[in-house]
Amino acid sequence: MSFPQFAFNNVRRNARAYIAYLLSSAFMVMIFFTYAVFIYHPRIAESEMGNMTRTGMSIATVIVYVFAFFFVLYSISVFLKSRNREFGILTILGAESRQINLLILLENMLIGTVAIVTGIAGGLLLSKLFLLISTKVIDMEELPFYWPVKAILLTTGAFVLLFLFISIFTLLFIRKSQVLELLKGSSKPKKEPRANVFTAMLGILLLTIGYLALHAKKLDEIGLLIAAVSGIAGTYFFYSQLSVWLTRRLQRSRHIAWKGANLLWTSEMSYKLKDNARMLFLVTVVVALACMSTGFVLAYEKQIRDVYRDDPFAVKYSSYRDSDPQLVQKEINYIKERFEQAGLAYSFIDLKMMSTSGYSNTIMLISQTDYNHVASALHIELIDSLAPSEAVLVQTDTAVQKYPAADTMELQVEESVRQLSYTYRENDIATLTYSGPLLVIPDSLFAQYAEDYDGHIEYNNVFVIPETGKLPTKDDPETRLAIELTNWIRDGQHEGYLQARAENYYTNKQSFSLFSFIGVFIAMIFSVSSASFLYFKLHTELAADATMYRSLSKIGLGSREMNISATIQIAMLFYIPILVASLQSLVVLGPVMEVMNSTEAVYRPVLAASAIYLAVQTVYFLIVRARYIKKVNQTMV
Amino acid sequence: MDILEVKALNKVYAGKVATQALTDIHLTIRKGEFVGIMGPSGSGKTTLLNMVSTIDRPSSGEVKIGGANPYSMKKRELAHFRRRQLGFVFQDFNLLDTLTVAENIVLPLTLDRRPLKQIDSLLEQTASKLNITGILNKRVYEISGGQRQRTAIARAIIGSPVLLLADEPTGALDSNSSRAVMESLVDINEKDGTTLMLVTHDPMAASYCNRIVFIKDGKLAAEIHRGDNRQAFFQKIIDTLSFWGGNTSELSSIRV
Ligand SMILES: Nc1ncnc2c1ncn2[C@@H]1O[C@H](COP(=O)(O)OP(=O)(O)OP(=O)(O)O)[C@@H](O)[C@H]1O
Ligand SMILES: [Mg+2]
Repeated sequence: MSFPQFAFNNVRRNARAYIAYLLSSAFMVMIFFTYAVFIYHPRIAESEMGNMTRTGMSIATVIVYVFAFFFVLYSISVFLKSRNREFGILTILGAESRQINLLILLENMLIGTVAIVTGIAGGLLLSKLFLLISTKVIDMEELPFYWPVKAILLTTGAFVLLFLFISIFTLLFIRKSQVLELLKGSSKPKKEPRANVFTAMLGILLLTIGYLALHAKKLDEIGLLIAAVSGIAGTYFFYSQLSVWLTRRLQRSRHIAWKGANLLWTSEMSYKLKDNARMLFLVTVVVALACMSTGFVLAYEKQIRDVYRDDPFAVKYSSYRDSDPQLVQKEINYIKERFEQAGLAYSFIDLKMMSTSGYSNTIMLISQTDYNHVASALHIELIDSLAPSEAVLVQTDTAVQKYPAADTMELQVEESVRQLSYTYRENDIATLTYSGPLLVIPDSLFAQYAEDYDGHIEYNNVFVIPETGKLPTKDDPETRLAIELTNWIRDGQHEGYLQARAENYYTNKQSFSLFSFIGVFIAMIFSVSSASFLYFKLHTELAADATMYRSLSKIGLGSREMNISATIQIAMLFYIPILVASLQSLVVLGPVMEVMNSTEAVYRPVLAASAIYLAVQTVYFLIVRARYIKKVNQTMV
Repeated sequence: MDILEVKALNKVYAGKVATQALTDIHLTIRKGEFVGIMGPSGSGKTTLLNMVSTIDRPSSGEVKIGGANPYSMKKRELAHFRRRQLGFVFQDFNLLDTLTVAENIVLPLTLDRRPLKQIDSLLEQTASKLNITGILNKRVYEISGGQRQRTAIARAIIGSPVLLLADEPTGALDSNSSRAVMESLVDINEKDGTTLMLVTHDPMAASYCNRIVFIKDGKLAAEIHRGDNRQAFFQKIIDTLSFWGGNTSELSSIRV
């Protein structure tokens, strides 16, 4: 039998190990490629997005690549380790190291080529499928399918480099090990990492730098980049140091360790410490990215929704101060006509407001009668009666600055100053102003101001339609009318300006849907790939673990204890990353959303994203755990 | 008192060609006995031991250990039974690389959730009995084969089992280590009164037993008892082996 023959037979008989390696590599190529297909989609390239989004997407690309690198590196090291004995025996039988190197190199390049080709083919299918599903789910115009030359080139280039590098890397690794070690295979544990003050400090320092880069000044792309790099590196040190420290403590405390199945899993954990720390780190980084992108999407969508929900007025039309009242009336009539033709029941209120400055920020004045008109149309509590120096201050419930329930104030309009006592309310009528509170004053006082300072008066006309409680979709009568009226007011000269909440909502949602699409996509591929990474790890360790549990079962280890020990270990791998990743998302997303001019509080969407992730991971966890335990149980006597 | 009762035991391995590995085996071991099982390769020694150690199920017949029938137990009960009543020593040690020597030894006790104090004192006693006190904090890959086997014996006896089962415990050891291991086993048998059942190829190891049962082709073939003289017992073993067709080449490495 010649050496090439031997190599060929080797591949054939080791098919299981090779296929696991090939599949995991091809899987990573597919993920990376699909991601590249979207990043380089012409529609996305020409879309107007901020530098922050662009930087965020580049960081995600790098992370996908780094993740792919480690994934492939990990699978090849597992693959080679399972064959260490084979290499050892070959060496003893007198195979030259050149021959073995050649064998490994050829194998790797062959597997790499096949992985790249199948991965890209799979990626083409996956991206098409994903486009199909997501355009159905997200209310978005369909992204056209294109021939992703750039993505193919990038993926091929990146992964050829990766496989070349990894081949050379493993050759160096193999050359270093002695025959004896190779023969012993994986029975010898890796050198134990030490908890070391210097590295621990470095980790803390890196995390601090990351934090400061996010929070110190106004965040820019460079700050985001620094935060990403130092945060990721810091996370690595965090895991390697913390896990060493924790397992050492656990092992040293014999009260805990020497009880039940604890001895089993604590020792297993410390044995696999380095592997596990790396695994936790990688999974955390991708889970954090998934959480952040989901959180970002959720926060933004919520903001768009809230703006719509908080606005009780379907259409607002305000005339310019110097407009001819008759022409204004014509335009109002036209709007009414459009409402009637659209079949929308509406109530119409015209009201006067006055701008002023008083209290601490600018206040808009409205008369009690006008306020009550609006209030009754919106079914909001009316204001009964106001004494001459009484007023009611109204704000939306989302306003940042709060007022006492009752107080006095100095109302100043130009040079006239007046003492008023007021009570405070919160409702959506305050959305009549663009910012600041609304002050309801007695009719007589409003009339007097209107006479004295008629230049301050704004004429508003609002249209209220019955609430459906639903968000507008493309074909709603309200949306159609809103878009029509907005187009009408934008074309040519008009006597006032018009705002339609449904149009506002729909336009925002459309322009954002591309990003939700990418955000959801990133979250999905990362969720799948982190779970499959964990699955792959457990799958490769299964054989060794099963042997161990089998021999232990002979000395009286029951399935229950095995179950506990295995569940604890698997659960840690699945759930610790989610915990850390949620924390990181909270820290990172706050400043990022601030730069994006979003006022949305960030913890809710992040928690929602983490909860979604938790649910998905739990499904994976249950599947993986059940399979693992079933397999091990089969081998136990 | 009988610790082990085997009655009319049969074992058939199903397959394309069904193998009758054991046929109608009757065997009784009394408390405090040290019984060896010998026979040619493939004669069914390991199979018999697996039946006794509850690792494999018999096709028919009965096995009773300390009066209890392990095959009528539920899985969980059986695990507890193994942990508390039986001790095992294997040819390939079956120690965990992930644990230190001490941790390997106490593992059955921790599974049983014994109090730490008790574990510590038992560990100390057992380790000094087997002369491995000095290596308790080492890892398994740092100690020799003989030390590994004594560690495995320590793990098997720390729970004071009623029956200690050993499958070729000296199979992977050189003669010096073998002797040390066998002497430890005799010590356990004589001082603690633990009942032992040992499968072996090695006449030297077998000569430490009180009684030897020979198996050939899955059937009981002969039984010899040790008198006062170990030299004479050894000769008897060799004679019996050559008579029943034991592998003669094994005898070329006689060492006493
Ligand atoms: N799992 C199995 N399936 C099928 N047949 C088996 C199995 N285990 C053992 N046998 C067969 O049963 C017979 C007895 O095997 P056993 O392992 O008990 O022999 P042994 O006396 O321990 O031999 P050795 O001294 O070589 O260890 C042999 O013929 C063997 O081929
Ligand atoms: Mg055998």
